[in-house]
Amino acid sequence: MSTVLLRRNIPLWLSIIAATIIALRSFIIDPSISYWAGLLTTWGTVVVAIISGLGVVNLILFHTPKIRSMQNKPVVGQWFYSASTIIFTVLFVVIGLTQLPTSSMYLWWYNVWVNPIAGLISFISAYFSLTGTYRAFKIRTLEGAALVIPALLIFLYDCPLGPYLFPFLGPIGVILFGTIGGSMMRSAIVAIGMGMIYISLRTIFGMERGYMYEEGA
Amino acid sequence: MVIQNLFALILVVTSIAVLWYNYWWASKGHKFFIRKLPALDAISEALSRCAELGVPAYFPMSGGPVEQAQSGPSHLAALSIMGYATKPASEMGVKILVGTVQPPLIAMSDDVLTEGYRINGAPELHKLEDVMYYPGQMQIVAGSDSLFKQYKMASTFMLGSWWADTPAMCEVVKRHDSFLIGGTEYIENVSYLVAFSDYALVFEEIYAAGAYISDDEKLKSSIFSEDIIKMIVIALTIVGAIAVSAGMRDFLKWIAM
Repeated sequence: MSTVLLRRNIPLWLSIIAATIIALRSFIIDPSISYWAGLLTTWGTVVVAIISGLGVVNLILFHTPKIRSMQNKPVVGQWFYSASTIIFTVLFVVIGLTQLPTSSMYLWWYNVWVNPIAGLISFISAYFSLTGTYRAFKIRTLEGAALVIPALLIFLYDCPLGPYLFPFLGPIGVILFGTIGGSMMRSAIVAIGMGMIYISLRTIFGMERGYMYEEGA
Repeated sequence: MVIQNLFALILVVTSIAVLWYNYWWASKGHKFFIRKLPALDAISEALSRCAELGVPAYFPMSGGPVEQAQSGPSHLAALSIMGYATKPASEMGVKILVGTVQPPLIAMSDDVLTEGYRINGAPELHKLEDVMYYPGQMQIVAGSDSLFKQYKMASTFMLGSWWADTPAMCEVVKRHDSFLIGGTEYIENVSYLVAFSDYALVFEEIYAAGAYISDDEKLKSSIFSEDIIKMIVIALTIVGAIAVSAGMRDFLKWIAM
């Protein structure tokens, strides 16, 4: 079989059939369609779960050379961080496979190690978000002003003290939130919805091929 | 067998019919016009900046799962742009690094880059390790900061589905003075990407990217089809608003059939 057939046509036909069956479930109430659509959705979940293992392979591929060469870039002791990443990944895979994720040992490792570190990283990211927001809300262009002035009014409107100190903020906030914001949001949802439908149709019918193997097509 | 959501079914069937009619029209030689999208014209500019500085470009992909209804299509749109970007990247000898929080995107982006570089004659520019996996939204921010320190990526493409990590990620990109092309369909974060990016795609523009970059009339015809259906939806919205205001509430029942 040619490579084009294997890598493009067969996946394309499989996706057309699967997508049609799953889409039909939304429009036709029929036990056989529900059964096949449910089965295909489950297969999709299984495929995604198997691919998740690729994340582990990828981490090992990325970090192993750093450990082997005792790398100190981009930070001093990088090799140590890489080694600890791999050790913890392997540890969790082993505990998860032997003890199940609901076991007390797994939960102990998760609650004592992962949760605090994840919380710390989220906190650091929140700092970046804060400084980022400051950078975004500097008025440098006309678009920047269009973003900042309503944001400032909404910000004041949302603070209890804002409408108390500046009573005119009440109706302005209602107009900005309810009338302008609401209608803009709905129009954006319609536009995005149409875009989503059409890129899905293009993908299902094999028209959108930017991400596909094109040689010999 | 019982039919439900009849109105939505009619809309989907009409969309498919309009899509195929315009596809046929394009295959007969009809030309379609798409207005200029500066963000997509700037892809070459972004990659040439990387070539001049001798550093890679960065394509982080965060947001929702690939199999989700909202984030899936925008991930596909981003992968399309990535695929098209491999052509100028191969010509200029620029590596594209990818960071993602979604394991399926490792396989997908690796495939896009491997094939893209190979077809354009530069297979040596990509290997699986160039796709970095991060286990969460905030972890990609911290990890990307590290990557920027090491590889000094001169251009970043923040395209696709972007969630709560958007402002933090934008800040990391700008702290490292990277040229940023951004675009997301996620309404809450569009404003951040517009404010931070050197060039931005807003709302559904990201879905039109494949058609715009490929310059393929058949693909462009699908954007025209989308606009036709959009006009129908706008007309229905206006008719509905008038009908309901005039007390004809049966319109709502008909549309929700």
